[in-house]
Amino acid sequence: MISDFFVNNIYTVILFPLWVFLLIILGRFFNVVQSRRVIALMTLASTLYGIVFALGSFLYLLQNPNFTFENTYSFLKIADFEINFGVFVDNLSAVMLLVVTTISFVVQLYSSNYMFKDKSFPRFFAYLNLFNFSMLGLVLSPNLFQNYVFWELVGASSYLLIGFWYKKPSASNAAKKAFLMNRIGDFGLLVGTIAVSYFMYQYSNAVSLATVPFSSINDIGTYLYSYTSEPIFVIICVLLLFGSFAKSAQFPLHTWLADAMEGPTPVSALIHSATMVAAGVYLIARLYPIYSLSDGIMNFIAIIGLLTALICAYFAITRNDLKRILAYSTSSQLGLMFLALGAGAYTGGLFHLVTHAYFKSMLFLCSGIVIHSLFDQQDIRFMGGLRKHLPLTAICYLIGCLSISGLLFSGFYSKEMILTSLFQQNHYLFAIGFLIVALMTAFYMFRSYFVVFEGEFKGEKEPKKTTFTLNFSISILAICTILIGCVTRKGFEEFIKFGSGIAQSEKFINPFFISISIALTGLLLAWGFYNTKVKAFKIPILYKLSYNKFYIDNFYNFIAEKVYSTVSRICAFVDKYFVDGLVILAGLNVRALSWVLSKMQTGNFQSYLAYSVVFLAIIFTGLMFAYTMIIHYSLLSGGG
Amino acid sequence: MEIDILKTLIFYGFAGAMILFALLSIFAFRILYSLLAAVCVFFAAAGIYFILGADYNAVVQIAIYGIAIPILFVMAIMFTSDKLDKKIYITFKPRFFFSFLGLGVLFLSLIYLIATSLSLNSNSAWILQKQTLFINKYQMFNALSEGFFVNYVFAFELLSLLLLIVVVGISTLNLIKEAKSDE
Amino acid sequence: MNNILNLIFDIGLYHYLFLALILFLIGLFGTIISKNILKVLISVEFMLTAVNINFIAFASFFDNIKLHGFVFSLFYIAIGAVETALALAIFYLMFQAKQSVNTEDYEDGAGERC
Repeated sequence: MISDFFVNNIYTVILFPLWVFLLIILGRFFNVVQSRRVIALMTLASTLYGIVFALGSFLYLLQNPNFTFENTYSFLKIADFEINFGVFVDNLSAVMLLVVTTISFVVQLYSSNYMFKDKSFPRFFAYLNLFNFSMLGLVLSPNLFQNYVFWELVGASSYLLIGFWYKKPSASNAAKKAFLMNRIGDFGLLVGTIAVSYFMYQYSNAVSLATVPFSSINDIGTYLYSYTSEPIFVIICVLLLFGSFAKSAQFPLHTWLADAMEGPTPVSALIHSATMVAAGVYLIARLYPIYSLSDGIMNFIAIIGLLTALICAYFAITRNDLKRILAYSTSSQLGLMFLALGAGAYTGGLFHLVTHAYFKSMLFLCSGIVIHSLFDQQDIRFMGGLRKHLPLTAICYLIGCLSISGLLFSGFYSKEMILTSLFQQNHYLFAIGFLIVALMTAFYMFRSYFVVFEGEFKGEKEPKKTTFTLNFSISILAICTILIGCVTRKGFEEFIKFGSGIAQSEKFINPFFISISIALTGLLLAWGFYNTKVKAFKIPILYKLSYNKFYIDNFYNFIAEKVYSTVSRICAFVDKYFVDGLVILAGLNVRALSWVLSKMQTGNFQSYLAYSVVFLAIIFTGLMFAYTMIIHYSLLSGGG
Repeated sequence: MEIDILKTLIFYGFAGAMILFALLSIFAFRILYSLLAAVCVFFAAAGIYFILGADYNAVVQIAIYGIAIPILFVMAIMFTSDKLDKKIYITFKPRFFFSFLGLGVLFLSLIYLIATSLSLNSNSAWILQKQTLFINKYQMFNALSEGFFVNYVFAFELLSLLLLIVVVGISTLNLIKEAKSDE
Repeated sequence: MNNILNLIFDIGLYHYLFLALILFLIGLFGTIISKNILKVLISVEFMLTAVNINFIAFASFFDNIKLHGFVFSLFYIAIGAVETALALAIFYLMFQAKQSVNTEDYEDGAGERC
């Protein structure tokens, strides 16, 4: 049937976007490729090629369970420590590959129309290709070191794309914020990687484990757990987790994602909802054999995930910016994935990752259409009644809302899978938290839907028509959203599992009705508040807390402005008066010396004679002392 | 130990005169006085030579340093006498003090080194060694002529060549000077 | 006490060396501090004389038969005479140029005066 051709040549999938990226950049540079259509076509071709290969390898893996493919070459060799770069394909990376390439393709198609009139269209597509390259490299990394390299690369391309409109101060600030927040996590990841590598190199008998290859991650987990004491193990795990937290915008570092919405909307759809932020979840899934050895670590992941899901859902309720609602929603849903992974619902978490990628990027693309047709108006208070103007967008947005609330379509399946696992593993507390999040999710999503698409239009200008390409793109994703849940649900459980999979015990509570009813409650609340004549009431304190995002941003700003700048001022003081003083002193010394020396250059031969006399005197004095020492010691040792 | 008190007195007389006149020569206000003091120093040096048994050297010293060179100096002073006055004395710029200090240290350390090196020798009594064998005048001239005409004949010839060069050089310098002034 | 008296009154090599050292240092001092070029030349002659005393003293004390020191002393005197003649000739030329016997008028303008 399907040959292993696709799997064997999977590395070309990584290299093609890189080639296109270089072509665009160098072509721009040498004025070779300037046509926007050619650029867009090349990009789409490279991604389509990726889809074909991803599909081919996915189907091949479907036929050959437990098959993994690894092809590496030596990248860096230090004595017997050898870092390999290359590709590694197993079930997880095949699924991720498919998700990344399809969403990438749709978003590129969308942005070829959406961004067409932008001045920096080629630059945008170059960045998209760079991102594509790094994301695919990340997904296909065979070991933690390559993973780290591409991890940084996606961070860099995310930085470039958030700050795409760099002339806007808010955009460039948001880019900086995202980059700095990610740096914190990347630092943890790097230290953790080096620590794991160190323990493997130092204590395990197989040197090849030192690069932390994913193919033998089970052995690494066991070794690491046995070589290290409990606190060390926990510290290493937390450091590694910090990388995931930062990339996936989890609780302490979640603030960057909402600001990242300053970038173009296709970027939000591609990077900040579907692919890059999912890399954190992906890494946790990769290193799951290590984390699962410690219950504390698993609970830590779950608690952080739940906390993020709760607070971000809470923040999303009071946002007025359409894209920020979706951004907090992303953060919240990623929190649910963390919760699922931490609570042992491995399959459910990853299934939610896949389904979420489709419907969330669709929601973003819909919001992009709305914003575009309203002439860059992002505030939902100036929208309303857009269903008449943009019927297809409204339908797609509704599909996305239903899906993300867990009422219908793919979101329903994935959420139900997570909830079932939670109940099966007796994590009732997490399940309750999950349901609260589901309630809030339904509420804020339908709030945005009702405010934007129902009611009366509150804007000033008449919305303009959308184009075929944009509609086509969101339709593809809508179809994916509808189909992907029911089609792949059964197969996914077989395909992606950890260990022996979830124990199929009896269900004593059917979570189906609970989740549906909870989500319906949210829907009705939103309908009641925002689509009827009933005036929405606000509880001032809660509203204010949510609106100000628990003052976390203010707290960070306070740290950055007050604490950090105070420390900086002290440092500057020290630098100015101590360090600089030393430098100036050194300079003054030289100046003084040169002054003295220039004074000594009198041109009078008698002066020079005097210097030689002084020097001679010094020499003879030294000679005298040396002579005395020699006599002294020779008398002592010679004994007379 | 027997001390030849007469010789001691002569030595100290000459040595004291020498140092005295040397200092006088340096610190004299007038260049002519300082030249006269220098002549005295040279004569005293000739005396020291004489004590040491170098009669011929003493004679040559007197002939050259005591008479010939001072005459050259006197001629130079005569050439430049209208420009000379007391203002050109000695300098009191920092180099005076530096060199004074340096020379003092040098003096002390050299004394120390000489004394120590002498005392290190196993027969340290040679500090006080006397001129046990007085020099026979006949032997001295014999040795000198052997030195000049046998051992160091090349050096002697070179010296005569050097004198020739100097005579030619000085006249050439003056010729160049005259050629320049003619232009 | 007797020893010190011996050291002072019994003239040996040490005394000559001492004398030569003092004369040499006086000559050096005079070379440095004199303003008058002629006095500098005279001081140089002092130094030559001091060296000559060393030569003759060593020869007289250790080389009674061959007397190389005496021979070299004569060479030295001759060279000193040559040197003085040459120096005076150069001095004469310099004097013709600047009409001054002050050494400080012959600084090459390098830096300030010390």
